[in-house]
Amino acid sequence: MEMSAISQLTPIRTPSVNKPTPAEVSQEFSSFLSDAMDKVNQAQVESSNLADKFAAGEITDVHQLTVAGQKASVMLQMTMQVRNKMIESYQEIMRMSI
Amino acid sequence: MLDSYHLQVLERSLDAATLRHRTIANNLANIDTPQFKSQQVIFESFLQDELNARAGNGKLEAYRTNQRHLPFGNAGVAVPQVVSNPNNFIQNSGNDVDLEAETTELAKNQIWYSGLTQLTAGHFQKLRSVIEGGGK
Repeated sequence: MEMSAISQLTPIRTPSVNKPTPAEVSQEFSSFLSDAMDKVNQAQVESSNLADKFAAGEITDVHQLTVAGQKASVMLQMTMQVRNKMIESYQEIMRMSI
Repeated sequence: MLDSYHLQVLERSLDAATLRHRTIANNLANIDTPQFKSQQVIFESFLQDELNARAGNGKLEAYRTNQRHLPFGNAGVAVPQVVSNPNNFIQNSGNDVDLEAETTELAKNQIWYSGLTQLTAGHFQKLRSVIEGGGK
């Protein structure tokens, strides 16, 4: 059996990046979350603007409105599922016996 | 939350759609009435003006019949208006109901109405799903 190949392998080395501090990590996460929230909010606003335009008879293609509305609604549902999971995990931690 | 501007727009548009439906039904019912003048509902252009005024791209101005009348800017709420042209006639009896035009308007209004009801239902559905859930 040819075993010489294995000696050519270099040991796995973890890339030497400077590890972010916990404060940085939480800062990053919070900005990511607020960005995501902004995006969801923007989609809602856009969808209701389109709906207002439809009410004012400006939009003749109803599909634009439906697609925008569905996008906004799916984004909102996603956000809510994330919220529910967060609360669930919080309660899970609270129930943990130390 | 339930007084949001978006919901108000939807409600008023639904009112206008109902009014238009009733007006068209009235026109069709009077298709053989001598001297009857068909009526139309104007709403979309008013709402457009209002939305533009809200967005700051122009003003909704009051209609003044005299120069000395006080002008007032943003009148606020777009209200549907029923108009008719008394000098118009299509049939010899002085009646001006056009069957094809009325049925086309009716179909358009139905599509508009069902779109509006779907939007309203979607809005309430969103509100409900935000309220529900959380720590179960």
